Amino acid sequence: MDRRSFLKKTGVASLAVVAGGAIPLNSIAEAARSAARPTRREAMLAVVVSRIVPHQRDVLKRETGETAKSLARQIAADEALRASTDRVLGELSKSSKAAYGRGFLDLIPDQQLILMERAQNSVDFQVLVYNVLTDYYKRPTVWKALGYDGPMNDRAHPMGGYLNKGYDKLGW
Amino acid sequence: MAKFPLNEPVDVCVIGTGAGGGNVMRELCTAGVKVVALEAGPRFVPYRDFVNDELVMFNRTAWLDPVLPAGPDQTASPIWLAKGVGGTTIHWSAVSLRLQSHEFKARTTYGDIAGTTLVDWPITLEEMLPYYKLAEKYLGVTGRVQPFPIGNTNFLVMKKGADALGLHAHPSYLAINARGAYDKRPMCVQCGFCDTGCSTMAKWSTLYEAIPKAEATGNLDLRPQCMALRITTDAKGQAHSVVYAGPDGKHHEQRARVVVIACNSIQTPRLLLISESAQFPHGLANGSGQVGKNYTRHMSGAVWGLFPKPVEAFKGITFAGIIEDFNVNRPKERGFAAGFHFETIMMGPTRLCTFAQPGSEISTPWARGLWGEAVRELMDNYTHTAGMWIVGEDMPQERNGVTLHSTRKDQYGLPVPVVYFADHENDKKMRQYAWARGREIFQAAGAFKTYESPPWPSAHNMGTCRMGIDPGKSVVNQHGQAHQVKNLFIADGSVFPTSGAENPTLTISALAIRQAHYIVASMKKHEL
Ligand SMILES: Cc1cc2nc3c(=O)[nH]c(=O)nc-3n(C[C@H](O)[C@H](O)[C@H](O)COP(=O)(O)OP(=O)(O)OC[C@H]3O[C@@H](n4cnc5c(N)ncnc54)[C@H](O)[C@@H]3O)c2cc1C
Repeated sequence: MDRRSFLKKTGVASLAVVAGGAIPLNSIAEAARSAARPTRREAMLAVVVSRIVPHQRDVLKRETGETAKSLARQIAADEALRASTDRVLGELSKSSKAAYGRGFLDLIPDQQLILMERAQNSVDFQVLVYNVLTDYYKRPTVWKALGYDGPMNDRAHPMGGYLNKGYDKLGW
Repeated sequence: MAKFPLNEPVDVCVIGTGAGGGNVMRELCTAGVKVVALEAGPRFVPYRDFVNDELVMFNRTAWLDPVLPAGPDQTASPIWLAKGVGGTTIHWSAVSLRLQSHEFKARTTYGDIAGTTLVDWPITLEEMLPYYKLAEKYLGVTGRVQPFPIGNTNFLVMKKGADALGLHAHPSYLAINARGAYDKRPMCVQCGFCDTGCSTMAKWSTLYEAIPKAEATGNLDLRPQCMALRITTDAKGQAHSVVYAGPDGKHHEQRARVVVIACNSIQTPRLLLISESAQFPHGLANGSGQVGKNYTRHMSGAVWGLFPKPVEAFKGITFAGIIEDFNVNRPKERGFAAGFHFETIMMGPTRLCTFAQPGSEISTPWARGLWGEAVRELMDNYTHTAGMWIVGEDMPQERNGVTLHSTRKDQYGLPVPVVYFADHENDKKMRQYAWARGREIFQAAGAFKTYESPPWPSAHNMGTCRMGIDPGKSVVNQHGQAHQVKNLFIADGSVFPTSGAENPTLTISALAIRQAHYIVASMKKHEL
């Protein structure tokens, strides 16, 4: 895969879209519709995301739903990303039917994990993991829950930072 | 700041405004030389445009024009360089080390290692020392012209392990105002975002040190968003002009007595190869056939440790500490030539989650990123994680390097660069050894789990237009002057004949300063 298609296919480009706020109106409409009634893709994404970042604490669990929604929005705005994600979800549905005779969403978590582990070697799966992680771990709520305070300086507090705030005190 | 008429001849045209270009400009302009500088990227305003967000800053300032990977060890994205006034000194982490004496004599010290193109530098540490000292003064390097920083908690963990093993960890040599204001720039606030662009300007960059000083002389006309497309030559085979695309895409031609290329180790050889002509059928200044070859990027990798007690390594200067014990050459004892350093490293959660164990999106096609329980364990311990980066000398090999893609073109219609890279056996052995020592250090400090990261997209890029005495085997002489084209100079990392084990930018800066002094002297003597 060359760099350009790498950037197009992966989080770097999709994060640029999110960071720039350049989400087309039709995807907002789609997201609004889906907020009322999740599509099959959204339902599957929500489960897959929660298996990729399986934190246990409530606040962290809740945020996986936000990442799933954010991915759905990115997918709506990016054809290549949609195709790549759908290939992963399609593969999981297919292998679920073949292995257990049921849809992926009807499996217990351990079975879902087994199928995801089998699927993990595809480029598409790796792209999905990358996109999920970079979306999820950039969330301020997640930062806070992990104990990360961020830079402590921003435009309003240019002289923030950790100077005089324990950057040099290990305590053990 | 000067504005010279477009398309009128000027003394020197400098292409690229990073570590090499910025230092050259400062020295030329303060000596009274009129300079036009062309920079492909925009001019950022630190307090306005630099935000403490790793992904936003990457997308804003990185060189995202296509650069294709090739070779057995290819990473999904071969390089990490910046595009903007200041070049990659926007992103850099400011570790500022001198190469060691034996590294300037790599071929003599390491011998004839099969598969390498090891050579000695045409210059010694003694000759470099005055320029290192000047560069350290401009950059404000700690431990040289400013006090050493106070190590952060990440450093204290490294030190704990090092002390237990009889090694020596100490705060690093950094171009950061770690202990007080310096050169009219403020003291660092220890925000921990060194490698995203420093909004307070406490970390040195040519963007707000060398370039404003050059502009203040009235001798510099810096033109952002101007991409050099080709260098033309006259009937005598001397550099005549630089053809470039302006911000509106229109082409201009800048004539100059002297042309200095400082586009970094990927874009400089690319520009030379693109600038082929009947006189220079294999690329400008490429009589030796060495343009684009002998690319080095340092043997790199990382080690992370999870600890039972909090570290909060994200607080403070990212590369606060260093262990120098391993930078020696002990081939008999260790089974590989040359040496390496450990330097503290930390990332925000957004990057650590994918960089600790990168998948194919960041690393090689067969790499698998962490997910599920594995990523949960790492990230639940985010505040209890310490990190060390490994930076060592890699072996120059002729096949590693930059070529032009035969069909693909970029947005300017120029052939896209292809970067081929494969580790030498020596690099692989050194990495295995370094990972093992890194694990020991963190285990000695009490880590209950360690991770080893492979190299990431390359931030240190060297070689590709190596300097040397023999015009048949090198591209430029010891002043960075092209053997074949006397009024053409190269001022960036591409002139390194070998990589040394030290982060390259201080050496790039010292060489650029030395080169500028040579240009000024040569102009005075009418030799240029
Ligand atoms: C995250 C990160 C951390 C780093 N940390 C350190 C560190 O701690 N210590 C250290 O020593 N080094 C570090 N480095 C490396 C350091 O930044 C580089 O070694 C250094 O900036 C290279 O200088 P250069 O002059 O060769 O090129 P650059 O600084 O890359 O400058 C090249 C400039 O040329 C411009 N350009 C390219 N092509 C054209 C063209 N055709 N026309 C016009 N302009 C063009 C580019 O836009 C760029 O601005 C780090 C790098 C990164 C990415």
